[in-house]
Amino acid sequence: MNLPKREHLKIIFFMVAFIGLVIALFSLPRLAVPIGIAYIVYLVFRPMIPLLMKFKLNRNTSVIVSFAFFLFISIYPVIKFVPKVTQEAERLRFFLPRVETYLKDGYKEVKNNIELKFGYKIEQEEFPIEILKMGTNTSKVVLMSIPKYLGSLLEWVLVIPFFLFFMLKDDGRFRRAILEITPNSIFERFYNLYYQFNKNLGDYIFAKFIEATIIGVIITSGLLFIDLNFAFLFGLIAGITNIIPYVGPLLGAIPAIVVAYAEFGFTSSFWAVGILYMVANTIDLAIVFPLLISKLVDLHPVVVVVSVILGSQLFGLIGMVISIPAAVAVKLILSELISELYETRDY
Amino acid sequence: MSSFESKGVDNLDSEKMKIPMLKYLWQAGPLSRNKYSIPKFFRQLEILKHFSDWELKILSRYMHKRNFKQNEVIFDKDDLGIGFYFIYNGRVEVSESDIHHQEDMVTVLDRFAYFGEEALLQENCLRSGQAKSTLPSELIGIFKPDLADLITDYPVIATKMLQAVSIILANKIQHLSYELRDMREKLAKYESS
Repeated sequence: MNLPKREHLKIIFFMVAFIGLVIALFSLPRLAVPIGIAYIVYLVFRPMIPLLMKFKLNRNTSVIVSFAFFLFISIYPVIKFVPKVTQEAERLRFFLPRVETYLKDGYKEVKNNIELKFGYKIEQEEFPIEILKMGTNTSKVVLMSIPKYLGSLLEWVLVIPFFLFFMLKDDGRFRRAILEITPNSIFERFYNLYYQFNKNLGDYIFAKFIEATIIGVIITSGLLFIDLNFAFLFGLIAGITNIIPYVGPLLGAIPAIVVAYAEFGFTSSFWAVGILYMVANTIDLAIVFPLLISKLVDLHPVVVVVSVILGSQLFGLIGMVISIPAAVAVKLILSELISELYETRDY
Repeated sequence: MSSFESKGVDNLDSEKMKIPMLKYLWQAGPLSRNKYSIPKFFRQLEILKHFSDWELKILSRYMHKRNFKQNEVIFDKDDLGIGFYFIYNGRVEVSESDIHHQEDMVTVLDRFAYFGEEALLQENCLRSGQAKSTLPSELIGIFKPDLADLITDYPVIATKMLQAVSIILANKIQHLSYELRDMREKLAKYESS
């Protein structure tokens, strides 16, 4: 397509504005994180507005009702469960040295038993202890950071609802403002990409939110039934780590299994905890994932694993969580570019 | 002659005020001129005749006004299409190439005409021809994402919009089937001779 000079300038301006915005957000994490979270919440709550409009409510009232619902379901658990989870995290801090002693004793016992029964002496004294130390240090760091994150959460309590309200109220205006500066020659492609990206991301986040809630509820109620300490904390960890594909469920199970060993030893309760995690993940893999997510994320397993590794390398735990939506976005943009450059659109 | 004129001014008090007249006076207000220009434009379109004024007002909120310079390409052949355009102002030339890839079928469209309707219904629609503005033009377009939003927000208006697009396409299909029938008859005559 032969484009006039002015159209070229418009495209360059549009690209520079877009890239500039992305760079600005990356360089201002204090602003970008609440905006990002508000955007994710907006994607989850946006479908509520047309549903409410069906009950003869106008758009503004529907926005206010959706927003009030968001405030309720976010404030109520904070009031109800955050003190409990913080308390559990604090308690676990004092519980960890006990876990370490239990594991050391357990290792010694196993080693002695092997030596008595088979006559084989395990020489490595330091290696398992080092691994144990590394494990406890990592879990200490993670657990210690939970109250810190909860602190940031309280800081965001004011900012995120503010952004969210205006995202819900003025979503059409934001979109129109972006589309108005979109050059004519790329308008339809850009609008299509923008819509596909938002739709995929919204569906994925909504599905993951439901999946994490299901897993969190199963684990918490199961652990309460088994009567393991820190049931709420482990339920929360299982729900959050479940967002990370493949390795997430394993990461979520480790702390509970370690604490279960320290609390119960190799008794039936310990095995019950293991079985509970297996059952929860089987329900996830066999029912929740195929029903909710598999249709939404059409990515090859290799791409999923590579994205998670890259995400963790670049942005740590948050990188692992956002790796899949980011991979979906990159896939959409790349497929659009490839079909444009190589004319391989096979519809 | 309107009923108001036939009955005379003297009878005005005894008659109830006609709603269309009230609507005219309301719409003739100087402040409402720009605000309702797109619904007013839509009111004059035959394919949107089933829409009420309120529905046209809602529909216009989901539309995008795009400005094109003279000889600017709106879309090219084989471009991914998601939009259906109405010509608000200006002139658009739609050219479709025949099987020998020679651009010989040119349609010139003016104000109130529309094009690209199949993009709203088709999955991954590729444009069958090129559209170019031959005069500086203002187009009003509705795009697939807008239609998706309209379906969730105002299903009745979305259904009416889809009905309008279906009527356009049904008319096109009917026209094509007549042409096909003529071609067959001509072919049969040619074969018999």
